[in-house]
Amino acid sequence: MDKIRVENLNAWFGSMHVLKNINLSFKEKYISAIIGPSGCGKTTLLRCFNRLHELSPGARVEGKIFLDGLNIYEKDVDPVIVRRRIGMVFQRPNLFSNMTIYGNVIAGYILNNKRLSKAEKDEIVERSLRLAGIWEEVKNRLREYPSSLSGGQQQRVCIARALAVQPEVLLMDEPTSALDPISTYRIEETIRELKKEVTIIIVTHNMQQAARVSDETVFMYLGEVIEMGPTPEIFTNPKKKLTEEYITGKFG
Amino acid sequence: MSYRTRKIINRIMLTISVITFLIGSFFLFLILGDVFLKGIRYINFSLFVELPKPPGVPGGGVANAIVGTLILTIVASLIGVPIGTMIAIAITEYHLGKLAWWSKFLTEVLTSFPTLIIGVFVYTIIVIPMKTFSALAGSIALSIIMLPVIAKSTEESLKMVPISVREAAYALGVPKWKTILRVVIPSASSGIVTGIMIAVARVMGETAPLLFTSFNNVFWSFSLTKPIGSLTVTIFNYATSPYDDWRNKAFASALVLVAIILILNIIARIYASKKGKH
Repeated sequence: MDKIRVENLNAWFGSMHVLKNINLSFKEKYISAIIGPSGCGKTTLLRCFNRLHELSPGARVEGKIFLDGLNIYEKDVDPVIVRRRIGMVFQRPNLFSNMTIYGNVIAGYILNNKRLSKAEKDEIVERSLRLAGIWEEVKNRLREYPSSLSGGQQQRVCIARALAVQPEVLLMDEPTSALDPISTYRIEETIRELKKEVTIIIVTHNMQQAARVSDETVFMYLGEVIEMGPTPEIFTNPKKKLTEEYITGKFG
Repeated sequence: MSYRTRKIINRIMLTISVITFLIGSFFLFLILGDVFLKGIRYINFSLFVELPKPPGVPGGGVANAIVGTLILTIVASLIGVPIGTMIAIAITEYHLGKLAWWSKFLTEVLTSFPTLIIGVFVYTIIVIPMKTFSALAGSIALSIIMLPVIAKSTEESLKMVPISVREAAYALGVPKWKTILRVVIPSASSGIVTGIMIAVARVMGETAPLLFTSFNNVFWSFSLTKPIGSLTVTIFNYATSPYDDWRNKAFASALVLVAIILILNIIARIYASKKGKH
């Protein structure tokens, strides 16, 4: 079943046309990777899914994106509600430095004034940190501030923070590009585990990563989708010449 | 350039920097030292608890002026801090385009505005219609002086908060206003508070705008609609008087004022360094 369907999506930064007539669909509880050279619009596409793109000065979006059949670009849809259903992990860890690790994980509830008992909060924090694969490392440091953690640990707390509000879709924008190989390995493991819980769309410029973690792969080039298909097929038997050239490292 | 010449140039630059630092600090310490030495002898208990007395009469203090300065500063902060921070939020958080550019430009102009003129301005719009000098008029004049200082420093602090932190909140489904209130401002709080403290310290030392607004009062006054005494105006009156007794009190009052401002600055510094840790 399609969790997200994109129809004739166009996006601009000022006069720059960065996404050109995108048509795609993403299956529920699949891991889909978006690959392509720098500047091909993959991050912009990701940021259209939770209506973050339009917040940048001069940015504009046209077209439709359906989440379970509901067009999130319909006039009466509140982007804030969309963002509660579609979580996001960014390129660099961006924990709130004025909150503790515990406070960061529960932030999605606290900042939206959801009243929870201490036990409920504890349970959500533990569950989310376990899902993100970092519970054992931080369980005795929950009252510390995030600056005491390594970059890889911070990024996994970011994943926990996004998961805590139980999103249906998790967007990941090059989540390991600022991390060392061991942290990258741990996060990829986490991503595979998360497949049981959520639909994941991950942007990466690391082709091996796309091959390792994803079920389906989208290849983008200069703001257009060139090809989408099951990951093994894209990597072993691409239909388009451009995809093959990119996969084999002829450009990029 | 050889290593030797580079080393020599480095020495010369270092010497110049040290000399200029010494010149700068020399005057600061000269002023502080002078105020301290001349003022400390006349600091006594009655200075803090008694009302001013006519020249020649033993005893007497500036208690009403200390309280007056505090009232003026607190009321000025109550007006200036919220408006100043709101200006900064409008400029940095909401993309207002031309309007933001103008408010930025105007706050910068206001920063370098002669405070005397601000005093005269408040005199015409508050004192004349009210037909009396008042603490309220003084506070408004001080708040106008605070405004651009707070707006500027708050703007700088808000800009230091990375966009990625705001996006983290948006991505959790937190509305923009709540993101500003509960994520951006707390992250920038040490800078904002430091800026407010500096603005408060600055207006505490203002005399000129008060001459036309709060004027002076040698009796206790806690009313916003009546003239009120202040340390700076008291110092001004005492220091320009022909009586030794009053001139000594001027030095003592100056020492009290400098001490209050110094303490505020130190608190601001400690707060900023504590908050900056994580």
